Amino acid sequence: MRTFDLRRLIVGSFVLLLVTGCGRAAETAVTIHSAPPVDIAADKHTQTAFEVYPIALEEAKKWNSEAALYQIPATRLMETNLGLPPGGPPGGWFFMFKVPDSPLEFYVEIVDGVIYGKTEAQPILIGEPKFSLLALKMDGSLMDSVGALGVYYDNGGKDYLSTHPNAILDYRLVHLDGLSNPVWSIFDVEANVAAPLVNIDAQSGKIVNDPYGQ
Amino acid sequence: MRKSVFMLLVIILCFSLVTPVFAQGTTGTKAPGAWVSSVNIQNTGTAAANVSLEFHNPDGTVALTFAVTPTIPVGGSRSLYLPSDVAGLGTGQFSLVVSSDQSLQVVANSSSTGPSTAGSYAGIQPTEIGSPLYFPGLYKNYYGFSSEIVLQNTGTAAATITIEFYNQATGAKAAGADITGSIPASATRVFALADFASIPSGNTNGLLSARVTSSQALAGIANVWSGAYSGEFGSYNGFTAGSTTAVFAPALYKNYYSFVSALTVQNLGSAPADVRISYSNGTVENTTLASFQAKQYYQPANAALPSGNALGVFSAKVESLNSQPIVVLVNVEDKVKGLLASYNGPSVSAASTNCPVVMKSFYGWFSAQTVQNVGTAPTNITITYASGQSKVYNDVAANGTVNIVELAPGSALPDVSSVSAVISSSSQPVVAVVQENSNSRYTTTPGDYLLAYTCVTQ
Repeated sequence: MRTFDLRRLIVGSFVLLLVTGCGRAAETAVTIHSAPPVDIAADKHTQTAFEVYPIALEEAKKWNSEAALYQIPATRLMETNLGLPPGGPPGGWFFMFKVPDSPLEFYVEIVDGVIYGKTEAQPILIGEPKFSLLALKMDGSLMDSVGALGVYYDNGGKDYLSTHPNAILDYRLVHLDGLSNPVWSIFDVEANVAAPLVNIDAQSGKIVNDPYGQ
Repeated sequence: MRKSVFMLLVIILCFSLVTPVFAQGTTGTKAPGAWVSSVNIQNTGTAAANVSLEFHNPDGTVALTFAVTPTIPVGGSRSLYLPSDVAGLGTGQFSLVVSSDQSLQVVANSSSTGPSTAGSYAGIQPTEIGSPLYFPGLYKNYYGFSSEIVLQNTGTAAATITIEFYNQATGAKAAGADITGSIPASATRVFALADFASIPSGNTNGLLSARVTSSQALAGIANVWSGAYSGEFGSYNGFTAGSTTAVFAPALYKNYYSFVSALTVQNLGSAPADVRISYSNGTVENTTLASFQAKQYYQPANAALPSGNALGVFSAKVESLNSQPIVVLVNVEDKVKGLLASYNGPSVSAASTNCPVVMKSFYGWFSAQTVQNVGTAPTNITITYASGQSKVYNDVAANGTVNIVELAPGSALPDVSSVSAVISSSSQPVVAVVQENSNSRYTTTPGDYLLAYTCVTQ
């Protein structure tokens, strides 16, 4: 579990709201509250996604020096995709790397700052995929996972978590072609591994639609 | 193009299956849980492999064809998966035909939620397709174990099949228990023993073997499961032929860190088979098996076998003394955690054997390769990983084994590895089996995470 300073997060979100534009997906204004630091038991990550991203990137560069981050897939769904049985650490972060124009994907999972698994994989798809991923610009313009959690906490998450004591949070970050910005999605894998609780524009911090449900 | 055929349980989004029941079987597994599978393909050929996949619906129609591009390099391997968050194959049970211009090894890993179990089996090679098919170990309410046979008709016309069951205790054919039916061309059917009242049941009569005859060539696997502990599951391939000389069981256990094993021998011949089991500690058992009869040897029940963490791991050589074809199945179980895995006893030995997947600290998994020297003199055994490392184990005695466990500090494999490996011997023929396990996953979510498969002799 990680103790989050929501005051810091909210400030960050507010600044982002001032400088970013709107995505194409429907958006809802973020309600910003002043909140004390909280210990969110439902979040099992000991580090944020962006804190451990450099570890994954270093490994991906060994796979292919041109590898770029295309997705932070939801951990539980990714385990299912790779045929891994349940029981993986709930605090793991998956990172998906690709090289443009190649169907091959490279996954790195980080747990507690250590590489837990890595896989070169290829999805079996029928025809042209309905959705196309864009590379994520890791230039500091995107909200980290902890920022997304802060937005969620202040926009329904506090109530949800208080009434779902067994919730376990999972995250996904994707930038689908056609959307202006990447989107964080947060899941409660104890309730539904595939239906997000909330979707947040990773640049503006606004609540948006599920990018896969557009 | 060379083809490997294997049954693949593919469940998207983890929805439970509702399977229609046919008189000749069902179209989906009866093993409890919501199942997903991944396919790991290794190129064991001499050039980059062009590989294509053809998924078949249970009715035999083609559900999906997929060209694996880019090619898989020599010695390389690739995991192929069905994205659960992208519309594609849909939910269901499929069989898969893998074709390539190079020789391949294919391992399918299947896992379930509710209960959390896992199983693994090697792709069925063209040489393993045919009729009859034999299944040495089948269970119906046998100390809580259940089982099913999954058959795919690989022919181009409907297959007329008959499944005969044999009582392991008596060797007699189970009267009135024959299942007859038809499987459409390319179609798959599941025959769960629990669905057929005529098949005997229970601790006395529910321990069975089977012989399947068909008008078309079949590919088949058996699934075994139990509701004990947090749920147990294992798979093994059906046999088309046996050895008229010897079959090997590299990994057997008697209370070895709570592991036990059961070795089952089946006579595929039309005459009684005189069988001798020689364990690596010198213990010998002899028996005569009636035609098509199988017999299970539960190692903890044999007082002559060593027990415990120091000595309770051993191997065996199973011989046919009168040239009747025999096969061997081994079930391995952890009696504390409730882990189950099955492997087919290898009958072909050589100076080198290929293991498509070995692991170290890979998503919480590790593997243990048990290599048996089946020659007559000591030998040096070398494991060479596709990632470039190797390690030598000197002077492994005849009928002795070396257990290569991919855990620190003894492992030569780097952390976070999942690679293929070639195991070679300096002077004697060897065989090997691989077990994959995950202690960390068990800690988080108790279940059956033990998988096993037999390495392929080159």
